[in-house]
Amino acid sequence: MWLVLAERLVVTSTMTFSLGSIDAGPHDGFSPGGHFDLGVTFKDLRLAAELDAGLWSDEDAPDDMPESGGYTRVGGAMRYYFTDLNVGNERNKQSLLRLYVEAGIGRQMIDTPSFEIDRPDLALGFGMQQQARLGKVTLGGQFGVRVLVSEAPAPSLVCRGACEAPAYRRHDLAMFFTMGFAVGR
Amino acid sequence: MKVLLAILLLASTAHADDDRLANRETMIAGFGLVSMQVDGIANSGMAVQPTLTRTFDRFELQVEYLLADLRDDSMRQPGSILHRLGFSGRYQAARARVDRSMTLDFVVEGGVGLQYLERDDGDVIGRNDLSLGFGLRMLSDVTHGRRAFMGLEAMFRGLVTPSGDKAFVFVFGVPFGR
Repeated sequence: MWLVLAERLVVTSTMTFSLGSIDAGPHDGFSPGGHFDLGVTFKDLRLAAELDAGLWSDEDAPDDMPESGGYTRVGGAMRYYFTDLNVGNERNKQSLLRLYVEAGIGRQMIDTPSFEIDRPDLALGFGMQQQARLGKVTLGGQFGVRVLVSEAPAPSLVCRGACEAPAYRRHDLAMFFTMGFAVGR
Repeated sequence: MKVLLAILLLASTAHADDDRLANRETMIAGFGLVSMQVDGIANSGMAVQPTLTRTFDRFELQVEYLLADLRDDSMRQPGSILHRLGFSGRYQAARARVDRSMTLDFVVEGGVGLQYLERDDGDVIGRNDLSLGFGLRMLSDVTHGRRAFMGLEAMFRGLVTPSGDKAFVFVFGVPFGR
């Protein structure tokens, strides 16, 4: 039984370019970067470990004081392929366009000269992965959109005496468009 | 409403037999840019937009969810996260078919939307809007057997709210479906 199960498991790795924005409290960041993951697919489910890395530049910084830093994220995600479009031979499914939705958790780090953020997040996404089988190898393009929801840092405040904390939105959002390719066997 | 349904049904059966591209159900993973006035002040930012579309020959019905991260370049007001749920009626004003397996469509659309803005200072704004737009789409049937479509779509849309705030949305995406 374990042998049969192992034969049905497909190990794939995805490498994509990502372009997006990441909120950090009142700071709006632009973030081009890359996404790498390694996952195991069984039928319509894929479980993957993920690594994201990119630049983070503060769009609110004054022109004469530009601020830029780095963005890193590690996490895991579960993907569900809800539809397979067979683009190859009708009899054997050697070439598929697999449409998916995914959800995951992770930890993101933003490091700039003036502040550092280290926080957990929730990832939601959907997209499409092409899966062409060439012998024992699977190969294909992949693209999608992804949204990260995380807790917003509280605004910094220096109080001399009693004062009320300012109101602020409690969650931050990051959104990415990803495009790249996936390989596996 | 009955007239609209009758038109859609007639349109959906007119070319269904000989047209592999007729009456599609497609989904778009869209990504784009938004420029939107909030209380008369321009905000802009990136957006993602999942979109579902059903075509009835030249007529299309669409539902879209726009999620955008907005900021005011002039720093006069706090930034915000925009959620917009939109419904559109669309029409393929011009189209060209290539080898019966590929279509190039010029689409015009009109619709309504509900906006919910979560501002950085914790305030929220809810409002509705009217939308008008146009777009270009290339879609191919990439199979030999059962239909499966994939292509590219670029959509430009203008919004106006009852208070007179305007917005412009550009979304580029990859439609796929069957």
